[in-house]
Amino acid sequence: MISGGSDAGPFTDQLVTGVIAARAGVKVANDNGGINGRKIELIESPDNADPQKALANLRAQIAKDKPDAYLVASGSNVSAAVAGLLQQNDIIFLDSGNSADTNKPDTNPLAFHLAAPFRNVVEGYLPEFEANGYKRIGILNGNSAYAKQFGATAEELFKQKGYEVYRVEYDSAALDMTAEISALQAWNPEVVVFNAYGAPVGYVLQGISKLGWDVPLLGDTSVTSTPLVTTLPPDGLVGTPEVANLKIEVTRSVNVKTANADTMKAIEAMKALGEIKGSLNNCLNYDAVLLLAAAGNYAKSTDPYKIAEALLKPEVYENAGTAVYPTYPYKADDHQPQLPVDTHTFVPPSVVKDGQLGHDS
Amino acid sequence: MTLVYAGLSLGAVYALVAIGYNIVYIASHSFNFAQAQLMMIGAFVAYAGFVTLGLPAVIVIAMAMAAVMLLSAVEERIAVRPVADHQTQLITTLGFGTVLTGVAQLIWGTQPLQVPFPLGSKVLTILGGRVFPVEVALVLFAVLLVVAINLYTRRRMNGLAVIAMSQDEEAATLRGINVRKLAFAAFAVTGLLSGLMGVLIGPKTYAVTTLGAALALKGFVALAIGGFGSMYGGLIGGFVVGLVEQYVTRYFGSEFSTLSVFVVLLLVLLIRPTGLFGRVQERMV
Repeated sequence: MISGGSDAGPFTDQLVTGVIAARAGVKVANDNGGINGRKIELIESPDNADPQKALANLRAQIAKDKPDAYLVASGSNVSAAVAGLLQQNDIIFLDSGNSADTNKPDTNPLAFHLAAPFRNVVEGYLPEFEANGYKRIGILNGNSAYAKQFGATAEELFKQKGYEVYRVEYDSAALDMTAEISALQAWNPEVVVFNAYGAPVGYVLQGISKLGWDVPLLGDTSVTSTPLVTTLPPDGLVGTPEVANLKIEVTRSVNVKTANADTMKAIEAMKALGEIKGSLNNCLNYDAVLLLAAAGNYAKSTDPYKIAEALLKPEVYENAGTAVYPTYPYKADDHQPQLPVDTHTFVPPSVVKDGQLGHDS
Repeated sequence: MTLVYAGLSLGAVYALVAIGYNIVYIASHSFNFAQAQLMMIGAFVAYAGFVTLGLPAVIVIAMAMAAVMLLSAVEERIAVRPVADHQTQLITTLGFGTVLTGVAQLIWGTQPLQVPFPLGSKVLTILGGRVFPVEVALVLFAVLLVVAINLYTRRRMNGLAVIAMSQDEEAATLRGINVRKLAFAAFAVTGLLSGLMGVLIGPKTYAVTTLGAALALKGFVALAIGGFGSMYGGLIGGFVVGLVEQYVTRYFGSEFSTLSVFVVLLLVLLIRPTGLFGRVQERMV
């Protein structure tokens, strides 16, 4: 069962793409024989990522016919709302929202995170710092829960690794970032790491242009998800002076030049079912279905505890044919995928096409 | 100086929202909580005109003004006129604003859209400070608009009628002023101006559906600081909010920015309960 479907709202693209990814995963897995010879059926919960609606739909589905596994198409609010009910009913939960409630293996062995852990996303900066000899790092992050956690994790990790760090937080509802960027500029960092999604990406770039500040910028994966930096003018900024100093963080699968065959297969499957809006990072549910299929086939069972146990086996998560990340190394005491440091890389902004960046034309 | 310009231009945006609130408040003593959303629609229409249709600036401005005036007139008919008391109008206008946001999301999506500024986007250096041309235009427009509205309300018969209405609606009616017609006209004119404001605000803030919510509260604070019903008050209130936000963010951090704006509001209201330029109305009984 998947929470998703949307008519309107700030996450429409993400929800629609998340559901298409799951449908494509089901098609590919069923074409490969399903789970132990049985076809996978996807039950869609059209809830607009509204936690109350998602919970009500899940309750109704459990009363009617309990699903074996649950997926979410956007954000952590739905994940937090349904995690308890899923646990009570012994339903596997592969959570692309990375809710705190779904990485507690001691109390909830059936829940797993799908997205890269914060630390992994932040560690992705270290090779870039080393390659360019940066020592003084400025961090600019928003004040949403996610953005604050990003900023705090980055500050802690960079300091641990011996870098000088100065962090400035901005109000995500602000319409002008001149003051925040002035504060950062006064400290004179060699590079600015920043987190933003939507209009704040534009305000940060506007502010830096206005101040005439020639500083390298490294945007996190939220910046990458903002169409402003992956669209050509007049709608976007690709190729304009505003993004001349900007590099954005992507997983290797999102970069068309480093993507592997499994990723390209997933993209073809998804394209056949609908448009991939935004980056491939919204398609973790494709991987979720393939992981479930691989675990079920390995365990030769649909028993949730046997599937959860199988998900911890390297022969399962390394050979599932997943697209966004090539592997999902889970540990018994940590259900976040322990991804390699080189999972992420930095590329200049370019036009996003079929969920990927770096196309030649 | 760059920070001063940033504060003034942001303040001009808030002041424009406050001016929109004020025109309707003066004419009908009601608050149009859809004001910021009307300006947001103006920004989206500007985007559609400049980018989607590739029209010249004059036509885009006329198009934005006409479209938002029409919406504002519809709002007056369905969300203001049928409602008897001003308190309920707060809810109905807020609801109308929510509908506008939803419609904008359906038409233009949820991502920020760049609205070009006809006079370019090359940074200007003025008195050692750096500023975008659109920011200069915003400040000048806000000041000129307030001066123009004040001149109009003092020197033109319709303007005087609006002032008369704001002071005593019954007396104005007895003097032959068509109060309902004038209240409707005030809404329509606010819409007309909001369309123009949207064309100017869009290049600074992007056309984005979160714009309405971001502007509504700060615009109201600007109005409260300046004093309800005072155009100059709304302008000064907007500049105060913009400058306080920028300076507090720069030297104390963004977590104190909104807080400090409300501290200033409280201080102003403690010293002058009607706001900086608000007037106390006394009545003999």
